[in-house]
Amino acid sequence: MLKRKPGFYGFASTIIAILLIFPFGDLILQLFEKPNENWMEIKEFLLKDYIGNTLILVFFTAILALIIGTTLAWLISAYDFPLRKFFRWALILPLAIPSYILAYTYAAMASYTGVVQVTLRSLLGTGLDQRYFNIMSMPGAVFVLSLSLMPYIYMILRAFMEGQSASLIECGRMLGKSHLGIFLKVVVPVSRAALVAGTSLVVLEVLSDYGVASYFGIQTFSTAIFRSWFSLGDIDSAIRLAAILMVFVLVLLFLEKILRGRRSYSMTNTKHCPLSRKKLRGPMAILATSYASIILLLGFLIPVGQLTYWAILTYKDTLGVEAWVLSLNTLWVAVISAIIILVFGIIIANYSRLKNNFLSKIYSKISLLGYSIPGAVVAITMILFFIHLDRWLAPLYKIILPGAPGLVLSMSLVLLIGAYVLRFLAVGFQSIDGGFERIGRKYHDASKMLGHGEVSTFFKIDLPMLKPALLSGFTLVCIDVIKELPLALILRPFNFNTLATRVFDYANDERIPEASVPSLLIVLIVAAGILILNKTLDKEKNNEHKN
Amino acid sequence: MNIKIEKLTFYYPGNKKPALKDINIEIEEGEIVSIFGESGSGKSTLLRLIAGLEHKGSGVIEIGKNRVLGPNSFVLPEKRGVGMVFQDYALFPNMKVEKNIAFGLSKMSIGEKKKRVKEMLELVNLEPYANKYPYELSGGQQQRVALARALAPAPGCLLLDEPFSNLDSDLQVKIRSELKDILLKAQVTTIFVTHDREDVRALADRVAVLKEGSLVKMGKVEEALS
Repeated sequence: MLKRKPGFYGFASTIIAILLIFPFGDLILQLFEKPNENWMEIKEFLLKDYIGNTLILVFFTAILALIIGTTLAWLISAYDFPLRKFFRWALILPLAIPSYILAYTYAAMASYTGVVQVTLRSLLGTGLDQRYFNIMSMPGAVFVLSLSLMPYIYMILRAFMEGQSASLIECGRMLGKSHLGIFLKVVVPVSRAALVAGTSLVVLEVLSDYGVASYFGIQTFSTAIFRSWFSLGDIDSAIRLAAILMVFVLVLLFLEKILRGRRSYSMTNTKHCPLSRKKLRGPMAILATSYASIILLLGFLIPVGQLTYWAILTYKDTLGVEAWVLSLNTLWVAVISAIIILVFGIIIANYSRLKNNFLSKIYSKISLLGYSIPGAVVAITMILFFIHLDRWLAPLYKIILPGAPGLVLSMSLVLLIGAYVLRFLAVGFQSIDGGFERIGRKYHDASKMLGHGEVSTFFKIDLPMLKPALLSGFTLVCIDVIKELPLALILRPFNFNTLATRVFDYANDERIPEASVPSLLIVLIVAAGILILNKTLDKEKNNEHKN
Repeated sequence: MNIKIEKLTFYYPGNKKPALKDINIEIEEGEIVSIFGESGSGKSTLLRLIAGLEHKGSGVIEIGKNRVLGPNSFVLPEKRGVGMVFQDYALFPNMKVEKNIAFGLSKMSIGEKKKRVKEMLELVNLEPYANKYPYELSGGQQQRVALARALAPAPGCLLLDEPFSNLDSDLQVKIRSELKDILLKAQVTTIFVTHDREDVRALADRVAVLKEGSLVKMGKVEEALS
């Protein structure tokens, strides 16, 4: 039997997969070193708190985000009420505000000199007792993270529910169930896979959060990793904490697999009849609009309003050349990372589509790995790997870069961009893989039967048909990179700042109003990205109907 | 072109049972042969092996004088000179009808391409639809575009995978006779896969009956179907 050569996609996918998993080798090897005294102290006195706080934050944020995201998705998919069309896309907007910006804004608003306390004092002559209404606390962190992350659940569930056939719901109605009964007994169980997928995303984001927990003074794994590393200079303990955090992530991924079960992600078929929305009238309509308004106000409009007010007060000092330099830095790092991710994603996803063998499945799993790994862990992994790489390349540096410092790559943007690629490859890969799945193999095969080779088929057939998926992947990666904080904070080269790191620096100096201009720039760029994405996805959906 | 298949055996990865077992078929130039069988009998796999879309088979396939599959040879699908009409046509949705038909004519000059596309549109009676997108056409029209696209590069043989399965039953009768006319005009060796006896009766000169991956009968239509 003739054996064919592995081809470009197989070879390139293997190289990419090795590049993605190789850095973790150093991290694992370090775990076998003898622990230092500091670690023994952390283990004895602090570890319990880190685990407890992380679990509480994850659990309550997941529950609150789940309640808000699910109810909103059901409301938008199953009912008609005033402003529904506006809320359908506007409720995604809280995603445009990174959770750390939401945290600084709410903390400043609720402080003694903030708008809430000042208004209460001037109207009622009394303020809120800070002992009971202190936002910089665990409940405050849960509130902020839930508002910021609930769009993940809302978006996934809404897409699922809008794609559902009406027959299940109508069957429930015919059997005499109330709307609440149908929601609890039909919709929730049927949507289990989507619910679990959305909630897992929220949990992974909370595990990865550094900005909110650090600003609110909550000791979680992420903040502990940073503290061990930067405040105590103890990279060994940081690595051990990172390893425990990874155990949490692995348990979560295992749970997700069990909870999703064997059910497919979507149960729609091509001949489904979409759910017809019930028109709400009177008090019920007011209630629905009010609920959606409150979430949009809390999650987007109030913080953006406050940031705008601060920006008006401070723009003369903060909206100078530096703001544009920061924006450009942020944008080009995001664009370069997104382009690399798309190229990697196309190679692995196409290999998986064309071969669909054991190896291609492994490569796909490796591509998805980074998104589950918290930013702090990725940061440690990458820095260890790049330091070793620099040592290994030292003889080469002596020849081509005489006089250069020992750490060339570790001190450059290559490190930060490499970390972004590792962390966010999953985001780009999933878009492209989904795109390839929709296209299937038939057009590829048809092109080959008409005499076109692999390269010509890719550029003339696959690439044009993949455009919407590429645009979605590009936008999603850019949004994630622009919002990302921990990696940028640790891995940026000296004197290189992005909008996110500048916001963090201002907030750390207690100059929250000054942080408003870079914060608003992030929100504007990300909101524009989200709207482009929303439009692309809607257009794609319409095209699918046409075809 | 004549087609010769000798001792062709094929396993799907991970399957111990062969999808095709020791198949021997010879087809004369200009003949229309049907591969007939129930689903899972291996008929589409046989078509994909002739096309070169599957490449792990053992045995020999020759198209004309060209050995496209053998112990030490494998010719890529794009180099076999074979045309194929897919079950769901696989018309490129981002290209208009004329672009779809011209897709396989990359070696021709612009003038030659235009002439050939026009000839093909005339052959399938779709001249007014040259500037339409595939989604603007009916199922029958889409099938004719797919046929024109496959015939445009003047392939040595034409493969049709379940050509009528995507059409309503009323339309099937009409399209069968249209297709027969087109194939006779094109004078091309044709292999088509079907599970419908009426398709075989309407189109084929001879039929190869497959069952569980083995060739159980090969001969004139009524003989083999009885």
